[in-house]
Amino acid sequence: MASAPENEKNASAPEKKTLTLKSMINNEEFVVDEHVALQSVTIKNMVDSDCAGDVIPVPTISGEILALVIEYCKNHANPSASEDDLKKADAGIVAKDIYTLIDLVLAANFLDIKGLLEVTSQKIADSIKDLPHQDVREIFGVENDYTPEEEAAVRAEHDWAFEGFP
Amino acid sequence: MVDLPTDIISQILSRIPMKSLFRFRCVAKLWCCIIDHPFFAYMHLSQCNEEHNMLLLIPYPTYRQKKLSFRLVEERGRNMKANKNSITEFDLNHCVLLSSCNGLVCIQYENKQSYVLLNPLRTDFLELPKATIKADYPEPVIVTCGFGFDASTSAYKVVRVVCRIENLTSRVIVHRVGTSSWREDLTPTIEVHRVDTSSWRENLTSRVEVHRVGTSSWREIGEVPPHPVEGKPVFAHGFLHWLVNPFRRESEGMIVSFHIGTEKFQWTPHPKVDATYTVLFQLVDMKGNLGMVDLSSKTNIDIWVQKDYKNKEWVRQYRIDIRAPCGRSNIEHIQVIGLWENGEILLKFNDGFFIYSPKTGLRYNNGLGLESDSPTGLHSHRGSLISIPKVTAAC
Repeated sequence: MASAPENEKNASAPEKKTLTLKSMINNEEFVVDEHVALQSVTIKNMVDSDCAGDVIPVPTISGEILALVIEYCKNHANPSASEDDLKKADAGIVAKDIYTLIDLVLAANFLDIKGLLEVTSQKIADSIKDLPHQDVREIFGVENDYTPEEEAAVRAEHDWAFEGFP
Repeated sequence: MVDLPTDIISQILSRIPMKSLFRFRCVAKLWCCIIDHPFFAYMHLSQCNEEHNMLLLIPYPTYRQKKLSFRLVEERGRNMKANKNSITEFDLNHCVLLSSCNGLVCIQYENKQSYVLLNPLRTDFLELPKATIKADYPEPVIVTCGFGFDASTSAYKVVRVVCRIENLTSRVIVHRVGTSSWREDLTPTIEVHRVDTSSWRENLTSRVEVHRVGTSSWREIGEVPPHPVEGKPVFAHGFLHWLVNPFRRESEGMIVSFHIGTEKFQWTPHPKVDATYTVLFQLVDMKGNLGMVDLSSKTNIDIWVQKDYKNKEWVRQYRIDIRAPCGRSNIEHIQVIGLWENGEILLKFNDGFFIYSPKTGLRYNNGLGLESDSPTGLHSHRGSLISIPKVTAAC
């Protein structure tokens, strides 16, 4: 009984529907199968509430990053891909420099793609964990809002963790 | 560059090992705030599966040793070295580290009625109310204490079992596990006692009391273990586990467990091993799972892990060949300290440390680079950011 509505749906939509995603940064357009794009909860919500036109504009995400996101979604929409295949494919997607990864994690967050958010966060974590905190500050463009005295005090609370670090 | 939203920063930081997080508190005030937040402590605990167990060096209780200090031991260039700076120091005398859970450690000090809870990485410290069941009888008394967490009620509890051996008139000989001889002794210890009469077996009486962390008292419960328990229990999946001592009483099992939530004792099935002489076994924490070490063979050490906790199914995860060249002569001097990085196992043979890698076998580790001559214990510790004042405030 539970599968009946789904059968009906499949029967009424035999042809593959596509969506066009457009990067608003460099106006690059990507035509993707709807079921691939719907892994993004943000896009799914737009489609479900009929807010999506023929072309879905994606603000703040460049074409380069959008291509990575679509590659991820395509891999994960493939029902015949094994867990091992997906792991390898994910590792390939996140084998990027730290700045690309930060753009990618922002895109995954905006488009609400949980799996991509997780693998990208993990890769960023692995890339920064052994860096001095000064480098981390620079990479993330974080302004140091401590006075030198305050920073020294926070550091002194866990001095042991700084052995071998500047 | 765009500022990262706070929840993405938390996502990333929850995957960063503890030691780096203590450095990253210096990045900016917001980062420090995220890392110190009680919610983040639990997020990190559940997320950071790759967090390596840390090795903490703790001095053995001696009369000379006044301070309890924790030091981190790390692997540098394939060798383990103790850090120069201690993480924290506490002013406690004659401490015995009992058990740990969620990065918090329960310690017994001075007499067998005083306990503290601490998170060595956060320098957090909580003195628990004095336990009520007396332990200073003229007869030998076995006191064991365990500490655990009940996820369904978010309660941390300390369980204390006092076992009294009454009407003891005969002499007691003591076997200190790890040595090869028995010696005569009339003082109560938490070592293995054997009494040369047969009637003593009926004269063991256990009493159990529980303290919920954050409350002001202990309460005695009617439940008693199905077999006298002693030594340090291991916490895993909501239960504290003790290996029973076969000298005490004939037993139907090897592992007695106490459920922190329901406050009931039960037997936990043990792996299918040939021997039942539990002196040749050890319980260990295997990254949150219960592990049992089998030292009964002369050629190898087996480590069993209870992976599927619901079905109580044991899997033999390691078989460590201990024949030459690393070989050893006396099996009782082996201690499995715990999991080391990359699924390796850290072992102590007599006074030397060995690391076992499933890929490359056993390798010897030179000294820990310690200057002091005071005896120290090495504990495998899964650290956490959990702050004890926050734990008690939740009650």
